[in-house]
Amino acid sequence: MKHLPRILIASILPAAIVAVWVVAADRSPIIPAMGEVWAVLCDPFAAPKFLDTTSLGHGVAISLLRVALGLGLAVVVGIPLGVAMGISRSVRDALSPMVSVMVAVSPIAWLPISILIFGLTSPATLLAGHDAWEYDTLDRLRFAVVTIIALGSLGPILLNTSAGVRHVRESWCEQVRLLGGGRWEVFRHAVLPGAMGSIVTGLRLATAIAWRVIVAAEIFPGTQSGLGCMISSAHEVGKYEYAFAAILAIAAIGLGLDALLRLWETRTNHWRRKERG
Amino acid sequence: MTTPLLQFDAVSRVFQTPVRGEVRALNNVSLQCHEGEITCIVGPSGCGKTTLLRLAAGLDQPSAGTIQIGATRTMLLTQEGALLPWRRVIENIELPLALRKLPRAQRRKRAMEILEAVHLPADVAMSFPHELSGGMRQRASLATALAAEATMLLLDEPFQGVDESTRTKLVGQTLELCKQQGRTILLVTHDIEEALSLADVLVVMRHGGTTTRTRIDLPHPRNRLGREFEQALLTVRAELANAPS
Repeated sequence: MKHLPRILIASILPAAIVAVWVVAADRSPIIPAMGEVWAVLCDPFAAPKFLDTTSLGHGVAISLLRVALGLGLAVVVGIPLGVAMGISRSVRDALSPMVSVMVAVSPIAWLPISILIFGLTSPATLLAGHDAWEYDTLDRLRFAVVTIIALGSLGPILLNTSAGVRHVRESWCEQVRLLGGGRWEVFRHAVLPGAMGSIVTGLRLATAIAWRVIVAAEIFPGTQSGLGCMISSAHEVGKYEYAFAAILAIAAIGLGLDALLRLWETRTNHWRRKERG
Repeated sequence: MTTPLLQFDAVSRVFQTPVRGEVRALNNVSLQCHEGEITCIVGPSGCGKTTLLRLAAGLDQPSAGTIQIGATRTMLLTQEGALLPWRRVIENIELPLALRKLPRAQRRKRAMEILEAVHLPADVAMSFPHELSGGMRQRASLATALAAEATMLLLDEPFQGVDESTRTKLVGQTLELCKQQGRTILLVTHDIEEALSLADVLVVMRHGGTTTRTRIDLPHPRNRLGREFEQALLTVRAELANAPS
């Protein structure tokens, strides 16, 4: 009962949106009825009618795979580079201008250049060359799209890792050294756990960016699957129930990913908050 | 006379600061700490006590003079404690054991024994340092130092933030434990009475240089209200007052 007023307040805006949606769907031929959108969401693996794309479920899987691959690439490159930037001033000075450019330019702006460089290559091209089409799912993870997700995610990972490492207290490193640890042990037992909270915050920001970038990248012509592709295909043929269903799926997955990462962030940072009192 | 575990010969440490320029934290300091002895250094704030301990721990290098560290392992305990805040108490105690490659099962058993030795209840094992009181944190820090098998403990006013009664108990237990295990202690404090009640050797320090080194031959436990203690206290106070600044 104590939380009832807060729940009521939090429900006002979603209820208003639903009300506007119902009224708008009734009066406009473009806005789909809630029931039509719901039907798409309830049968996510049904092939969409009149659309030149795969099902909603397949689209979700492909978008998530592209994000996972791009984000994975950004983590593999960004965390070691961020650590190097945090430890060494020279590395920081050398990389800072590049990181600033990377953060300032929208990742989508790189897409034409990325397509120019990578063309239609994918992990399947590496595996099978001209027979890449035989590996359908792998072939959809085009390097051009994955690279711009990696580029978009790299900035926050680099900056947060570097800041986290720079703020590791010297006394923690000294403590491990006094206990008998060498350089690797100091890194493993003091630097990495001391910076972990900041690294996870960077990952959370990077995931949010990657999830937004993927949808924009998939809207770009030439992409044949994914949630962004479903939205643009639905727009082309006027089947907006698919576009709305894709938008709701994007929102739900985005919220879910953010909640998971926020939980991880809270867990890695718990001692820092308590220490501050 | 036992072999010195720590020897400072004419050690100076100069820092370059952006605002005050050259700051001489230690000036021509000579000092010896012998095995199994408790050496207490007293002196006002800013006289270079912490710099001296950091040099003794090998965490800093002198600008001039030589330092010989005979101890196989030294541990520095400060007021902040010596615990990593993201590790539970038991994991902190286990860390030096892990660094010595002790098998996991033996690590936990040994850590629990050490926890008991420093008079910490077993249920504290799974707590994080920020969940403990100041006194408990210092006991846990001491447990980590014992697990590291430090032959020399460098204590930088470690019991400063702890209330009076806990502090007396904590100091007594720490020293008893260290004496039992034959550890050498170099304790820095600005509390003359505390130093006098613990020290085998008392060093009075003032603004960068040691001034006197006195062996305290009073028997333990020392009665702070006794005549000999009073006399020794007056002498040290006079030395501190007369020491060149």
